[in-house]
Amino acid sequence: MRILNFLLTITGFGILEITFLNYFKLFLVKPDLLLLGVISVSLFLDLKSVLVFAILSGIFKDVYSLGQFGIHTILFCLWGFTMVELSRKISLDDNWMRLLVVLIVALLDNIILGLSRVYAGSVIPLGIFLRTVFLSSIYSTLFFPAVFQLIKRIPLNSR
Amino acid sequence: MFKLKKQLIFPVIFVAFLFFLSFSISSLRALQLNSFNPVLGILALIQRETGGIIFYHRNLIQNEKLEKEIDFLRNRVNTLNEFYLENNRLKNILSLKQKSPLRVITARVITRSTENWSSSLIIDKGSYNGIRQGMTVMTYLGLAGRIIDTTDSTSKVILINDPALGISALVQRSRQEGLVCGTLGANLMMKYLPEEADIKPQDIIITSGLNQTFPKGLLIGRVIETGKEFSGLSRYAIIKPAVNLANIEEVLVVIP
Repeated sequence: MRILNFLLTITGFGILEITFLNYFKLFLVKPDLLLLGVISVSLFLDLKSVLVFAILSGIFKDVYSLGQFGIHTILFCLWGFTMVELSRKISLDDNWMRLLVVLIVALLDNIILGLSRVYAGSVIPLGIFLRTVFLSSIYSTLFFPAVFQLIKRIPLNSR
Repeated sequence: MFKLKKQLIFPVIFVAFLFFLSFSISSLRALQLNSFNPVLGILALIQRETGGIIFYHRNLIQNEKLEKEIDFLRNRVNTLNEFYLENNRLKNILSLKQKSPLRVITARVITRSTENWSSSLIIDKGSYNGIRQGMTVMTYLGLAGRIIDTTDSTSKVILINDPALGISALVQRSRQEGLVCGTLGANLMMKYLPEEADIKPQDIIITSGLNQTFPKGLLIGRVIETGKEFSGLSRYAIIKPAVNLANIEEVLVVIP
């Protein structure tokens, strides 16, 4: 039941990301709903569930992207694990604190993805690199409250 | 004799009167209408308003019905507009298909890339339709990209504005060669141009056919700006792609 809910949520977010969000592109970037989904579940689910959610989200993202296969799966697992560990050490109940953490994670995710493209041989102009890193991260962060509220309403805890 | 004349005089006068009346009737009509106009206007207004009050309920029902009909017709006009635009696009594709010496497969775009670090799309034709990795993808406006992955019924296309794709290109006017690369933005960049390269804004850039990945002569875009590389050793040109890469709906896959 939980896996089914996971799959439905991820498919919903994924489809939204590859279809409707293309109309909401800002300076050619769009928010990363699947990453926001992983961060959201890591705030209230246990580590095992977060990793399952991260793996499924990562696979969905990798299937529809051009980068090296598996990079999103690995990164999502890393962010899920980091978030669970971080929420054990510091309190993430404050909304601003939560947004700050999401912004940092989104920035790191984008920097790693961008650098991996550069490392693979793509020449990305510095301006476009910085624009994608910052705008995409900020745009994703702005979407986080809505995604978090939505995910909290989905019964992902039920077995 | 006099009696007969007397009998004729009245019909003649009558006919003459009729003639006079028929000639002057238009001016009489105008005079009458002008004088009665304000009165008739007020009467018509009263009649209309009274009718409106008497038939209020009937008009209300009729109005609701007409509003529904307008909504339906608006929707229909919208659908027909969409068909009209699609028809135009398909006509252009068909015309290119007939004119072009290249063998092509038409495909529809079904989705786009999930991430911000690449520019790609997925089309609804795959290996079952004869599409293979490495094939050129274009629209009737020019070069769009290349197939990088296929399944039975879908194919993944890397667009020309992805930095991972390099296209050997030349300036149509001066035959100057260079390498066109994507920037993830709306424009492309032509690199490795020598210092004395003959290239200027508005020049047309086409594929050179040198690396055999893309057929020779496909339109890539138009130069909008030229400049010197940071090292100062070579020049670059910014190219506006002929194809609007953000709004591709149908593509043509070139069969080699």
